[in-house]
Amino acid sequence: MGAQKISSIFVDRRVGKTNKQHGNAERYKSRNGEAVRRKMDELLKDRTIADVDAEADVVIRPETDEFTFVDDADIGDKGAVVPGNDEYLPGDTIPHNRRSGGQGGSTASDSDEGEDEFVFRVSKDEFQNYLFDELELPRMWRKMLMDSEEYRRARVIHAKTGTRALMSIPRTYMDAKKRRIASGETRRGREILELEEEIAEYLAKHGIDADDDVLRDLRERLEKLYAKHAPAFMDMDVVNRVPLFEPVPIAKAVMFCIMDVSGSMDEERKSIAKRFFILLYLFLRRNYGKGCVDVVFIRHHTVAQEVDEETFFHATATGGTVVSTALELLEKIHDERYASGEWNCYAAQASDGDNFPADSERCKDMLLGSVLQKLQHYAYIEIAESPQDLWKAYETVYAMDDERKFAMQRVQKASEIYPVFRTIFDKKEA
Amino acid sequence: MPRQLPYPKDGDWSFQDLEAYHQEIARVAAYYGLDTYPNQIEVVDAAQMLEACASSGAMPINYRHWSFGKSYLRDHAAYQKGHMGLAYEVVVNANPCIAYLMEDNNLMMQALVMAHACYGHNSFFKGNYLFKEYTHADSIIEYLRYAKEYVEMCEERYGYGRVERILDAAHSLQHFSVDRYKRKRSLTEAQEMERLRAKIRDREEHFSPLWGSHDEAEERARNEALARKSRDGYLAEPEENLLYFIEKNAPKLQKWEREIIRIVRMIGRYFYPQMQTQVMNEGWACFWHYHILYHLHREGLLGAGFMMEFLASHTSVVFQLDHKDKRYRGINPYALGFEMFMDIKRVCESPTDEDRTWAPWLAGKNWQEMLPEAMRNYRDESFIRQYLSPSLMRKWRMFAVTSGRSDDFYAVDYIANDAGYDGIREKLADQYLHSNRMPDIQVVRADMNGDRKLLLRYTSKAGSALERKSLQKTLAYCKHLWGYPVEIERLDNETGEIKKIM
Repeated sequence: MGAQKISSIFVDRRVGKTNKQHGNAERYKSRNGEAVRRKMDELLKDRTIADVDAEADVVIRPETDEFTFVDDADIGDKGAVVPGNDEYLPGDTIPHNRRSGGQGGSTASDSDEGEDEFVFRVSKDEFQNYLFDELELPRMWRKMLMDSEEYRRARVIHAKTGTRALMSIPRTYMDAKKRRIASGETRRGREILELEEEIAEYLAKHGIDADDDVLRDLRERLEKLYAKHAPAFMDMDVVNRVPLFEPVPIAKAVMFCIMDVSGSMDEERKSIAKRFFILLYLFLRRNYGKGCVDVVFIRHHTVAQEVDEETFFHATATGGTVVSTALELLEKIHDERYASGEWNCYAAQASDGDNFPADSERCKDMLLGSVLQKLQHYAYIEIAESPQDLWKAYETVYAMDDERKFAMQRVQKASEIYPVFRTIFDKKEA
Repeated sequence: MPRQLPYPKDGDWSFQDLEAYHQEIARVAAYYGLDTYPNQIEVVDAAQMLEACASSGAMPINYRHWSFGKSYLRDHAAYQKGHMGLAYEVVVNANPCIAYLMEDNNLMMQALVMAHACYGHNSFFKGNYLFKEYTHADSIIEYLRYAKEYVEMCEERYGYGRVERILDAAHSLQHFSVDRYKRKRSLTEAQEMERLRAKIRDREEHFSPLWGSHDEAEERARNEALARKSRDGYLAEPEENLLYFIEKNAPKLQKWEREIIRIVRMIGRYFYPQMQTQVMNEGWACFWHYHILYHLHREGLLGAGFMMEFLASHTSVVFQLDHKDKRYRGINPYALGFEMFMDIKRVCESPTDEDRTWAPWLAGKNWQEMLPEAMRNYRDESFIRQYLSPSLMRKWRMFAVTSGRSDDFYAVDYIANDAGYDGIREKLADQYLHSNRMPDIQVVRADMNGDRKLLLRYTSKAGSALERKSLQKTLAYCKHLWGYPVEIERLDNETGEIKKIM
């Protein structure tokens, strides 16, 4: 046999990948959004914060969601033909558990146990959404118009300016019509039609080559009308829908992060404090964006210093403890850079509560005296098993803080960081 | 001496190799008289293969629905964990017939899949009576594209949630959307497209934004037509095609909702033959990949190395586990189908005395005529009833068991001996009877001039019942579509007793 013509074609589909099922998979995921959310809550309870910045796999068992009429008469029960007989004769009996498989054995499991476990991959973004969902900085005011990058559409006006893409067809049509009526265009149009018809009739009657005065007169009149005739739509008719924008005031905020790095803070406590600040930092970045929130890192032992992000989270330093130095530095930085009234100011402090004896009193006085007035909110995290010096002093602050600007929480284990974080920044009722 | 086809040691392939192999395979297929649609062979990667398998029955395009995403996510996870290998062949019953080759497969595998899918399945699609009757390979792709666009358009216009609810409900009845017994005159997809165009014209001509798509005259006509066919609300003839009945008669559905139901119904119908012919279809394809590649081997085009690899794959595909094996999950359709077609060939070529008494109409005939005849005119159930030979039953050492509703044991009824052959054959055939797999549910009453309730009747066999929870949910779906209460009653086939169950 000779080679014959082949009608087949090979198509290479590997190039230009499309993820056809992505949309469907997303739909399925969002159907189970509630279950994923519940599971995430569970997971977050014992999640170490080091991996907030990563993807997470969430395993859930979705509820059964596909139904049809199902007969409980399982074929396997009614009987089946089975291969591999090496011992049975008609009339023998076999206990149920001897037959391992079974035709149609799957129908029973479809009915009431729910679906198999499903793994949903939660991306970094989604994960942080869950993490910081429903959280906000308290009392954040939109104060500034300057530097605002956000505009909102105030209203739309009809105008002759603007680009063609914004054209309002009804209004343009109306304007064109007005112009045509005003300039007698509609009347002229009618006359043109009548004249043209008249000429056509005349030509039909007198032959196509006819050329006499009547015809010349008709043609002259028509030419005149043509000369005056303007098109149905002209540039001058165009009306655009032009949106007007106005700047939206933006909220600017600064967060003072005060961390105790004294000798009494052992490695574990430091790591708890750092995790708290990482969480805070991610939260600010995510919910408020880089441009809107300044973060000032202050670390202290017997002296306080302002450091950069890198040093704050990674460098080590040690010494005794004088907390008030940090508060002094906070005030100083505030007065120098953030006193203009455009700023929402926040502070978060983490410490083991161990302080130079007389200093806690001083901290209390400073907070009540001037520091709290300058801030919208002050959060104190004490990493200790039982209340320490500073805690006791701060309790007075808490009691005397009429505006409820002051929050304090104690943390012992890394796993408590997130819940504590949530209680502090949970959206309060308006 | 013909030149051997290229076969590199690492099995790596190029498109030239594929062309060369395909040319030879096509030649042999033509030699054996396989009548096929033209082929379109698409090379895809593993991710695309996973995607293709996810949408129901591996359609190249489909409308959007979360259930496809669900099966995709499940397969994806199973595949990543290594629990599941990829289907190595995906083939679409269309003209041209679309087959997927996965890029990671080696050259032997590509050749195997080409022979199996592009000539085995393809000729089955073209020849089998069920496929001829229920599917229209010429226009299915165009129809699916239309379906996708239509559903998308509805999502935009009426909201994703409303469309999803209709699809959910229609999917739950998709298995009850085929006319199994009576043949209705059904539109081909091409006629279907023409119907749609007329519809669009109609909508454009009678567009009335005030009244939406609700059409009172149409509703009246619908009610009258139904009333003519029924007495006191009871239908003269019960309707087994639930989706069809709802699409045509549900009082409250919008036009677009009916159209979506129709889409689900059409796609359900398209897949109906595949569910009916799994054993035959796979068996036929295996038979032909085996014969085509062996033929090339005999001609000297394929070397021993290729054949060894091929046989390793082939035997694992058509392998049947014994019931005692832990991995036993019922009968492997590939194995049963392949063995049966091989057995038919054997009976034709070298019949024994037993074959001559059992199948005188087959023994000694030309297998190249008898085999296509079997392929064309049967479905799994009738195929087994007609062709399962005593010698194959002995070879597989088949036996038949039953178990009563409350028994905790199986009773052995038949083994493969003279007294048992007929019994085993009947039982195995029953196992593949579609109506034995789906509960028998029909619409019996819809009183359009009364309370507009819809009454379904479930006919139970051997004391069976409907599973409660899924019944509840599915009825809720029916109600959503029907717009008025839906009830279901159970008719006991043995006692004749009728009782309302929900």
